Amino acid sequence: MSSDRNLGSAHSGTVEWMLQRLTALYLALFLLFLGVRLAFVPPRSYEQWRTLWSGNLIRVSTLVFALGLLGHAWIGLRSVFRDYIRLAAVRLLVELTVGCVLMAQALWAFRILWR
Amino acid sequence: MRFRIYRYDPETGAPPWLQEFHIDADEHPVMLLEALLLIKARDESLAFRASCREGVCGSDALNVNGRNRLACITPLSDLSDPIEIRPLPGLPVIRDLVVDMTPFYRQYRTIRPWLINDDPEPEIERFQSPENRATLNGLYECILCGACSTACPSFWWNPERFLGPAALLQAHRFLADTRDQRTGERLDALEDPYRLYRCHTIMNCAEVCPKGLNPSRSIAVIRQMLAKRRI
Repeated sequence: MSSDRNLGSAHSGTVEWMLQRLTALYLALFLLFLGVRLAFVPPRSYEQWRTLWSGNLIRVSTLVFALGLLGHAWIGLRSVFRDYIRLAAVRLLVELTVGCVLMAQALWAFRILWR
Repeated sequence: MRFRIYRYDPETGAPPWLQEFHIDADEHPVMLLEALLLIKARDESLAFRASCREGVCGSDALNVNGRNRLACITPLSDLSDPIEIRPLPGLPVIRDLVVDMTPFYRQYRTIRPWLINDDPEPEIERFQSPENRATLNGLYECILCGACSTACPSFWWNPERFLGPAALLQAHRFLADTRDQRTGERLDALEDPYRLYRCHTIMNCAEVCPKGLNPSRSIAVIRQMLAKRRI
């Protein structure tokens, strides 16, 4: 058990907590919209599927969805690491790795949408 | 009634074990604490804490059949046989059912659990309107028995950094007090990924509180206050 280091408060955590809720709200709304759209006007072919993502509005909102999802995952995973990984060096290494993977996925999402 | 009671004596060096006891129904214990006192009369080496025997002092919080309760206000009729009694989880055991509450009290102390008011001291007392006083209901009743914090997985993992539900409920109690003049400072001290945000709303605290209080709600209120301050 590491000791209480008496360093005071980190004065952080609230923004993460708010972002977690904000992204959750956006993810839910976007998934609802997408679900309804695909249920009522299902694309019949690859071409129709592609034209669905041809407009900039849907591209931008899908990119925001992807970034929101990755941000949501980042905050959630960091919270889990803070719970269970006691060694700061190990935790920073794990966080760095996960952060790199999530950023690569963000770039990948961008490439898919604007190919 | 059969009892299986956690026994541990650090002086012998033997690992902890469960000892069986039997109490006959004609001995008529009503509450669990009475049964424990009957057992202690037979085996005086059994150690546990108890004092007021009416759910006010908070000394006899124990883990009974897997759930934290106050022995003195737990009717035996509510418990299934055999009754397994262990010390509060997550705290170092001193002996048998007696745990070292130091980590719990240390976190309690960090929230400065006293009224801070720089105004000149009044002759008699600092008055509050009945409405303002009502905001303390559901907060001031805490008896610091430790049942909530020792039922909280987040407190088990990070007892030295996460304040725990009991201390956070008390933090809310002083944030809500209109006579207190350190609301901002108190919020500053709480705004920390470990101190406050280790809570994942598991809600064991509200589930086990023998006084029926809800620390989860207090934590939500503190987070809302912090969020309001940001926007």
